[in-house]
Amino acid sequence: MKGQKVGLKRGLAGILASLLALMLFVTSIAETWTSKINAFLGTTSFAMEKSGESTSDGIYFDSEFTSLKEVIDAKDALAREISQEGTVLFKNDGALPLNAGTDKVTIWGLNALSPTYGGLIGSTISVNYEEGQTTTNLIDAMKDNGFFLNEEMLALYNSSAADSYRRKAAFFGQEVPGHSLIPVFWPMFETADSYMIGEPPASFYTQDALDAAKDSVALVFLSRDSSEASDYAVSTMKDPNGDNFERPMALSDNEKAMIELAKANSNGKVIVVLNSDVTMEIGELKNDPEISAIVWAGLPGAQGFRGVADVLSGAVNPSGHIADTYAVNSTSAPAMQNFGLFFFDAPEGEIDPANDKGNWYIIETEGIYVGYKYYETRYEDTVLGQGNAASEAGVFASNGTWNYADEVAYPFGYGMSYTTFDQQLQSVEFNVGGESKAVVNVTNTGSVAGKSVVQLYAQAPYVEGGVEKSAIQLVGFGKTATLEPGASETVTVDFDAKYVASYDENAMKANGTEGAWILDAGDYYFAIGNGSHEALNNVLAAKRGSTDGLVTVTEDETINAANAAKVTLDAKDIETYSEGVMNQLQDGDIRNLLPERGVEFITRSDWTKGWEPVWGITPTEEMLENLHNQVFELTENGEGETWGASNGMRLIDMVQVDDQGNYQGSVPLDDPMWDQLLENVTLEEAVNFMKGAGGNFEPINSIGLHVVTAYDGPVGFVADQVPSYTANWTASESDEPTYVGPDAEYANWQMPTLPTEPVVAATFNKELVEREGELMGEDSLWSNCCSIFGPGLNNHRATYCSRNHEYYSEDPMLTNIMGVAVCKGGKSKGLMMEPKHFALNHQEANRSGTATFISEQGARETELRGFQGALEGNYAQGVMTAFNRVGTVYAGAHRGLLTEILRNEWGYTGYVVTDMINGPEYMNWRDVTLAGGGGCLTENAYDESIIGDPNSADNMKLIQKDTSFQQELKKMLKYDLYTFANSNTMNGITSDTRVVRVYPWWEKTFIAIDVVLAGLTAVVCVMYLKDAFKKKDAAGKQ
Amino acid sequence: MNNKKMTPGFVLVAVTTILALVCTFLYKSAMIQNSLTYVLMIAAAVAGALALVLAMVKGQEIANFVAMLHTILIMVAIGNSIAPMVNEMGLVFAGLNPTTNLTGFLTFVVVSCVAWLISVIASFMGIIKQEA
Repeated sequence: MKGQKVGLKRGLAGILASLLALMLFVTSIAETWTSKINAFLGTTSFAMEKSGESTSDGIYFDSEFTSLKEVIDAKDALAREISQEGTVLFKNDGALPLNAGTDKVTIWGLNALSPTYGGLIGSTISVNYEEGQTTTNLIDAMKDNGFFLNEEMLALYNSSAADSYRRKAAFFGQEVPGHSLIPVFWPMFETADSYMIGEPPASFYTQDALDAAKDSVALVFLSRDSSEASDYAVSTMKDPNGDNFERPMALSDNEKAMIELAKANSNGKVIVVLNSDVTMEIGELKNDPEISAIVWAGLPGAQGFRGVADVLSGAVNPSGHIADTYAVNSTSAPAMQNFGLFFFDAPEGEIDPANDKGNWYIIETEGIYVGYKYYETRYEDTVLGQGNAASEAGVFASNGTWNYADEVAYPFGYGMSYTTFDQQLQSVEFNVGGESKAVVNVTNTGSVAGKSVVQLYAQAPYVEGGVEKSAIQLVGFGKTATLEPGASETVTVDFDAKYVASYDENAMKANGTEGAWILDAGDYYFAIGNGSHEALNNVLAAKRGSTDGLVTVTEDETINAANAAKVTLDAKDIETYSEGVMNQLQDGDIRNLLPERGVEFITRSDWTKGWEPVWGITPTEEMLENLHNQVFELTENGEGETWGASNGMRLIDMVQVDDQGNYQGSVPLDDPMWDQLLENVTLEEAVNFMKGAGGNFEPINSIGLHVVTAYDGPVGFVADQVPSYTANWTASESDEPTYVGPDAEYANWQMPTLPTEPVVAATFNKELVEREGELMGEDSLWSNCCSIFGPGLNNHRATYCSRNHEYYSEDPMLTNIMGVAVCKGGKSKGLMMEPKHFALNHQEANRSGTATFISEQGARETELRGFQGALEGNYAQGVMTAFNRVGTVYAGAHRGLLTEILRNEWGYTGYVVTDMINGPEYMNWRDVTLAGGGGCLTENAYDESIIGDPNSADNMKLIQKDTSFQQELKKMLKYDLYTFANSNTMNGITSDTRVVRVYPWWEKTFIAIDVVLAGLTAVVCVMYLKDAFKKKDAAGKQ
Repeated sequence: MNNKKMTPGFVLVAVTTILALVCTFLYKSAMIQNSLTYVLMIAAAVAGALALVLAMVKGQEIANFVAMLHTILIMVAIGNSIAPMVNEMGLVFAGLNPTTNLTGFLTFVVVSCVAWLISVIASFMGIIKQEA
């Protein structure tokens, strides 16, 4: 009997001790996931308490609105306005605008019912339908604008007969309408094989529906979707429903059949609407006389189709200009020849795809010739008869030798209006080292009021065989107010001469360093035009004194030599824009790394070169070291930095307020107070902050820094991270004027509803985009989210990158100016805008660790220029690094890019953070920190991984000995804290605010269970041991 | 003079000791990281083997006590594997590529939980009885 009792207690002790151990682990894990659990449960572990000593209200950035409803209404109105101005009219034979009173409309296209509003994942357009929030497709928007639609056709599209043709992507167990692309996060060794167009065949259409369409306007809706973590594949994609297409961007058989039916069953007006941020092949529609009009809508967000309908109805005169070149063949750009899946040919076992994340690469052999810079430059060389431009190389749509008119459907920057404008270039001032501007007089010569975009382009003198130069490049633009018929406006386009300069990797400066921004001696031309092609034609007409041999490709284009101006520089300049500049990205050029491979790049000196895809390059030993992610090491050096000083300084002490209590930003970055503040931080806090410095920044209690929030994405705070306006507030902040409680009206509205970046870019309206930034800032204030991972400022290198919807354009200057505008707007409301993905993130397939090889000139003049304005001007206060590598070094750990160019050349003072740690093997905290790459976006990836958690005992020992690492940590902290002090994250904090730790119910529950289990375990163990010893004594006595 | 009598618990601990060894291999093959779990599971197997040896050689309650420690160590090893498991699941739910052999990892979890349950039963039974 006694033996049984002992057994019972022993068993219970074993169970309880086991459960206690388990619960302690669970509690510990829950602690590390605190911020995420809190976000999920709507609880908080920190609260702000005020003693009442401060008289300040602690509101440094205030809303211009008095209610959330006003914010929401303003956003919807802005979305409509952006879409009105971003909708591009490509073609119009007079069919547009429609008349709601007389034109009956048949919507053609099943995709019109579920259009693509935005891209998937980081910029997913979302609304809370359950709360009554809505999206508006073109059908509803047309109805709302008073149009009578062919309900017979709509009924057919809504019938079950159409179900099998409807596009829907399987995404995390859900079917997402309006999408076919499926995000792929893991390594791809074969290109994607499926893309569903989503249109039924001709046999689907019933005679009743066709008959009902006969007397109506045909509005044909064509759509291609977009998604993060996915790319279109040129040749392998097939439609699972049996539709056929030559390429995903080309019209499919079913789409062509639908268009033929529409033409045959309409009143003669056939209008095509393009719902796509990737450039479709529409050359045949352009040349088809039975197609009356083509309208580009892009992916216009939740309410943007209202703006499209406004353009169709004529309520608004279109003023958008396309932000990408529409090539006849979507694969004809040089960049497309090296886009997709390319794998290193390394000795077997040398590269481990799973752990190195370094098995794949792309070589950007196009150099600076991206988008229109290729088509237009080759066009000029064809006209001038130089560089084998009129050869067969790179021919995709021409008959025989290369011919611009056959290759390009609509040039970059093109767009039509319902009226006509006369633009006259009045003057150009080109001041190297000073302010430059062009003055243009614009007159509405038509009969409809409208806005006109003035695009200013430049041509720098090209010397054959010298530095590569685009024949034309956008340097600035402006937009008129609405001009009534006959009215005029003088538009001044300011531009910076530094963006006319070219990067010469071989230039030797006076200080002996190599690499400089140069302005060659010679004739510079500045021209205006309706797009890049018209501007170049104006330049060529002025340069040659003749229009002979010049071709136009669109109905609105004119050639006018008077709209080009020449400015001559007598001497070459290599110093003005080169202070502190030198080559930093030479390790990204495959020609330097593998000269024996003889990789050819596109060059004006011979257009027949650089067209071959570069397959299977074999990495050198040095390249392999980087691909194995052996970039930096922690070493023992220096005397260590001061940490944990307890001098009483807190972050709020850095905030300056004037005598009237007005916020004046923080103390300057070079003020010694920052160093004193940083001394207060403990090394453990700094390390903890570094490993979680982005996807909600970790708090630093020693200086009173509470959790700083940061979320995706480019069209607003994405719903899977910030599901509502109220989600990020705690009751302790309820006295703030923009506080949204859980029961507040519209509290559960979702925020990412705005049009995508290409639509925004097409507005060519800086003021409108700045307003977009301001309203994103309002969302920040009303949702208590301080930082946003957007905008996307990568360039559209290749149209088959299906993440182009997050980026503005193929042109870096348009991207640059848009980036400045939106970030400026956001900053004015204290929102930390965080452009991404810095840099060279040009494809989504195998995006983790892709080695991007590019010339330094190409990198600086295309991709980096897009980021430069927002970062150099410090309008953006954060920047997210990219998944890819620059050469073989991870972009987030490339010292040349992040420390030398970003910090030292550009003087950027905001924070830097990685993208999601999607491979801790190469995105490791050690390399990131030592390269000046800032903090890591996601903290949980380092647990016991190859490099190990930085907080682990072993790593902390190494960090404690490595002064260089500690110094980089402090730099990172300084930039981050400086940014926070200049943002709305300080709202609600005053000198008497204390951030206190509170324990939400779930933490209390865990602790209670731990305590109870510990108590029970102790009691049962004592009882067991007592009995066991008694038994032993008894056995001994016997 | 006391007589030692092995209980069915002795067999069960022999089984769980073997399972603990199997788990170390499962873990090693599934995860290249988190070596502490690996060490803890080896410690559990060693404790199980020690309990069996003690039962045979000493025949005292100490054998049963060590068998109980064997039980606890199995759970500690399981507990220590939760953090990487959560991370791996987080990656999967985020649509990312897990860094481990997830099937092997889950097999480890299942086998080690079975081993723990069996060892709990053995703890109640004891692995050896002292009979007068």
